[in-house]
Amino acid sequence: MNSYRVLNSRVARVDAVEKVVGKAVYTDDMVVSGMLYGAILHSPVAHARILSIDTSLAKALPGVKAVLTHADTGHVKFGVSPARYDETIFCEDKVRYVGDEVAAVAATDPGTAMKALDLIKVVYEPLPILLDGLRAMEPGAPKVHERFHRNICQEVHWHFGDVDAARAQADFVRTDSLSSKMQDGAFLEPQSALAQYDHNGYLTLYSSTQTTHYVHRTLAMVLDIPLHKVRVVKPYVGGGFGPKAACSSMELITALLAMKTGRPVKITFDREQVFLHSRARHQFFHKMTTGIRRDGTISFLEHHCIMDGGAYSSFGIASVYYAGSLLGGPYRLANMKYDGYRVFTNKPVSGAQRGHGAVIARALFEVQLDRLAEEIGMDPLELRLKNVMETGDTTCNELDMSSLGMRECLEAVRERTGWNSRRTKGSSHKADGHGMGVAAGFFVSGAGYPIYRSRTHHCTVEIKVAEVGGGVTVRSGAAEIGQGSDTMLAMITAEVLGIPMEDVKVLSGDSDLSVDLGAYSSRTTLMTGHATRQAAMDARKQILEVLAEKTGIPLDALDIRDGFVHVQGSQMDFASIRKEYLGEHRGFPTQPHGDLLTFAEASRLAFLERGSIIGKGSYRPPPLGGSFKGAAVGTSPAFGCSAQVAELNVDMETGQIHMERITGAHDCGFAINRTQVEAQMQGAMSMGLGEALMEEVKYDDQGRILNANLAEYKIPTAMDMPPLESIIVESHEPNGPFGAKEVGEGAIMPTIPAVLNALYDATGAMVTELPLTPERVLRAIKKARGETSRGDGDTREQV
Amino acid sequence: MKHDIQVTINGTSHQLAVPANRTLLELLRDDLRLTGTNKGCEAGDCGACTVLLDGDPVPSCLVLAVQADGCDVLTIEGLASGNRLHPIQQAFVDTGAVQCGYCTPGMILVSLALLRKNPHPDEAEIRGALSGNLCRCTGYQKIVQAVQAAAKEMP
Amino acid sequence: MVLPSFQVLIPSSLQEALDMLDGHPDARLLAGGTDLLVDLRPAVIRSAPFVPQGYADEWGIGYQQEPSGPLVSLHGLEQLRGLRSLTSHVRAGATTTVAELASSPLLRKHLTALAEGAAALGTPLVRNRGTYGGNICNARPAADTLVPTVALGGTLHLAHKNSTRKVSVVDFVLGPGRIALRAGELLTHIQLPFFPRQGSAYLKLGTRKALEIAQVGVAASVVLDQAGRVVHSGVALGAVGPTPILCHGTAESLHGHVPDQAAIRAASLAARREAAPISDHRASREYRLEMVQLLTRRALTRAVERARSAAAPGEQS
Repeated sequence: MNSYRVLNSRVARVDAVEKVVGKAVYTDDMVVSGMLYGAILHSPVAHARILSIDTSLAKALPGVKAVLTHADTGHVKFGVSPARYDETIFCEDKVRYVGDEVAAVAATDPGTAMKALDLIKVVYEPLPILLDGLRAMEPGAPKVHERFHRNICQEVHWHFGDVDAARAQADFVRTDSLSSKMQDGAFLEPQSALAQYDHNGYLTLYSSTQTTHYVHRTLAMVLDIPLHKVRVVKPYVGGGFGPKAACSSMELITALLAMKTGRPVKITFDREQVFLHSRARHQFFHKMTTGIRRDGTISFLEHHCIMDGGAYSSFGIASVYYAGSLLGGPYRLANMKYDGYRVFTNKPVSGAQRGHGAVIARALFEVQLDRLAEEIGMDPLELRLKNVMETGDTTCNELDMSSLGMRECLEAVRERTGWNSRRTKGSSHKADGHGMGVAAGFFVSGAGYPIYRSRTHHCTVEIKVAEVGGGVTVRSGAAEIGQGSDTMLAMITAEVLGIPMEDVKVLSGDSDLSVDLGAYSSRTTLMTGHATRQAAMDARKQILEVLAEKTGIPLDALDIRDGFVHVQGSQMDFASIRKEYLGEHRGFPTQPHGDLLTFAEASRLAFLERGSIIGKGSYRPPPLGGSFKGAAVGTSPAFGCSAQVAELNVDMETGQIHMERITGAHDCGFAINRTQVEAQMQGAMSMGLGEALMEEVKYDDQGRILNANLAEYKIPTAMDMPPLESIIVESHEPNGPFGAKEVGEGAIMPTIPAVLNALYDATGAMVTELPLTPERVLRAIKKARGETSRGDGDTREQV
Repeated sequence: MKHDIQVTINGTSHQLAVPANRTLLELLRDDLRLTGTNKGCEAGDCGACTVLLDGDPVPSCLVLAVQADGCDVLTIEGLASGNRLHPIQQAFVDTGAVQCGYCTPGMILVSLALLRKNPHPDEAEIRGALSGNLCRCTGYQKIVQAVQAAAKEMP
Repeated sequence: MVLPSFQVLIPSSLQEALDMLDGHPDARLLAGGTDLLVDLRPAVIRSAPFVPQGYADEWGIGYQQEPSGPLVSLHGLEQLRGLRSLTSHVRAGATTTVAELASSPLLRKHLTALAEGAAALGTPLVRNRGTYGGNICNARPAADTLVPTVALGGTLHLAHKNSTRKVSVVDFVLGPGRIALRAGELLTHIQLPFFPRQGSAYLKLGTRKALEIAQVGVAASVVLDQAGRVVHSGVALGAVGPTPILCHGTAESLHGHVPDQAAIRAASLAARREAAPISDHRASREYRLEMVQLLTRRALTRAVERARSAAAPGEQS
């Protein structure tokens, strides 16, 4: 047992009560006086030149206060990575996907705004449409952007070790492929933004974003406002999962409308617009060749990937690196070759989503490990244990596993599921419809570098001790989006300062409060946690210094616990301090009493002696990674890892999958809040299961989404989710605050392959295209029956 | 043209004049500023806008305000008494069933309707009752546990 | 996106409703609203904008006027609601909610397929609002209460200002979203016959266990004589044609036979022959054909089991 008083507990979230009583304020809940309602005109065609835009009728409609097109903007390009700025607020020369932003209006009510959109007349000249990512690089394919040759947004060519030499030494080699479909974030809260622009030129944007920092920078850059005059505030956010991690045209439009009208403007997406804006998981086409030795040692991996990114770059430049780099672990793999291409098509834009870039690659590699284990007659979990990396190992692409409880995770799920006794050996041939599958994976605990090149601190935190004494306020730019970061900040502060949680107030998600890169790459607990710990230690030191000066007790003999000052070895005479405090508080019904000096008295004293007490903290990772091109992507101060076992039943006649249970173990280094670690694991499993079984954005032949709604874009309901077991593994990460590292994304890594491996165990079927609809599963079952255990796309060979 | 309606919301009777095309969701959020009822899809798919209409959970985005004339509406704001949480709300807090919170009001109201009709539901009944309320954060595990815990606490 | 402007008429009696419909040939009926209000809300991406009144001329051809017909809301008409058991049939009011169908002990016992179809429709929230009559009048080929109604031989009672008429559900549904409701008419109730020694079942195939549109739905009903032979049967197929399909070949193949496994297999093959599915983004034609056969076999098997164990009213105290 540890000696923590707050950390590692199951204390309730600081925002839970507000959320269960319906008082938590999300952006669309906000109304300010004089507010206008904005609306966006999206392109109805996938690829066309804009010949003309006539807004005169819209402008003449009573109640319309502004109608904007590209002519009203500064034409500044933006995007995620400065190396790929390829978006403008509105389309200028042409539209590139159904949903591209063409114009916008602000009106006194939503109905008028909607009518005004219909009065904007745009004349398009249709251009050939490119919808198939696999055809994007072909000669003669329609060009989405003039400046990108062969529609390639980014390509990666890596070779670590010597794949050819390893191939010659391998005993078994097999090649498999797996493709997925474009996802949707399907967070419950559609994006919303509310902008205010004041007479001094200050812009405030309230937005349902994961990254106030990047929105702040992009607003300033695109709208040409001094950075210090832009403030981005994130109210409560109803889920993000990645797609809300970059500045959007909608946020820029809202701000621009407010600047043009001089009135507050709000825009809230319809659900359909959430799909059009997308920025969710790419569609991936992976092909992998993996070799192993007869004893189960993995020899090499050769990996080819094409990812369909839609019409703009967004996070794609990073996604294509992640797809390759995050196969460097968690198994010892000395030889790895990767060729990745992220291409443009005339479809909504893909970006980052939970497990950024790496989820489908992980799925195929873990499937390959299972098939190879079968070929050498080894238990697949055993094969993983044989190859697993340990703390201190470095991957072939120079990722440093400063802590890694991968073995512990695999052993934990093996034991909890009774794997050894329940999973039949050579089970692929039983095909009775019941199956178990295992898989593992790892993920960064915060990107090693910011998205733009900078020495910036990744986060700063200030803890202001109440001048009246008794409590503190944590001031942070970190983005609480449901993952629990506010609670983490409060817990660390309470622990370090030695005060109860209820005396810690968290102010967060505001670019005026501090720098924080935001909620992406599973960075907040490690990075903002560090900064918070430092700030709390600073505040604590300042208070105790004053106390030491006043009482003559050495600083290191003083401690604060449970809101009281404790002195090691001796008693403290604080009569004069208490007397002064009581004197200041005549008439207050509650007064400090008893044998111990309270935090309220100590912190008030500190203020009286020194003025405001503000603890400061910041965090910036050390230089990380190798020197090869793209080495920065995938680096992190720490890596979380996860193993899961999926159990399922398949209706062998319909192909329907019934999930029975998922058992997961995740190494989060150290659980700041045990309940929230489990919650993240369970959420990751559900998103992974959705991707495995049902999620798919579908298009017609004109690039229009067929299922831009939550009825036909299917995420799991409560009836689809099986019971989930979550086991916390703690490897005590040396680079993490209190040993903590990520849980939000690593926990999704094993889910899809565990399901695929369980399906194979149940039926002998290998499906090479996700999601696992009943029809695809049934087709694969039939194929497996016809060809014994051989799946489609399987070209295994014995060397 | 506006319609005069009488609707009881969280125990208080309101006389309101509403346009024909106003949904109950818009009435609650925009006119009465009861923003605990969330707007997630406006198509009856997600359940974020669930309210109890004469005791039954319904998607308020698919109810016209005029259709609620004479009805009793319970929203999430009507559940706690003062600072005292309803046992279901308390169970959601204690179990960790809340993450982003956007589905939470709907989940709690659906749970209330379930437990009123069926005070001791089994897990399958709970999952069935929750199946019209999507959650992207939790995988439903802790929500199901919260309903089970609340069932033990409720009189 | 807000709903476009429209007028809502709220009748307080059936006669008033019929008068309103008579006076507004372009009126649409609003029952639970779970389909209509979704359909009315303009899509963000749509082929032609709705141009406000008065602007259409300036745009010329190709632009739609905002919909202008009034909605006649049926929420105040108590007489259209509820289930009643008569000696040989059930009378279901058109605005009976899908949830009421799903939880009705009466249906569970006598017309199980309809209760199962209702329980499979949408989500609990939608079932609390959506109505039986609405699900029928929307006439989607996959509609979860419509398909059992076809199998169970439902008769629709339609009222007009000056008259009433009856029409079988099979004749009423003409195509996707197209029904034989005449201007001024209103569906008042659905009549479903039930028999001693009857069993029925509805099976729905989807990827997800709730909030799902059937890729294939099959409803089967079997009535046995005292010797265990089929005297009457109905098999209806959903999502495999422009309307639910009542399988005549299946009924013929079962008639007069003891429904053993071989008979059920033969009947299922007959059902497959009558299905006319297309390939769409939900499922392919081939898969649907195969599933029609499989689900018919399973639904018939279940219906026969239920028929055998059914104690018809009067046969058991």
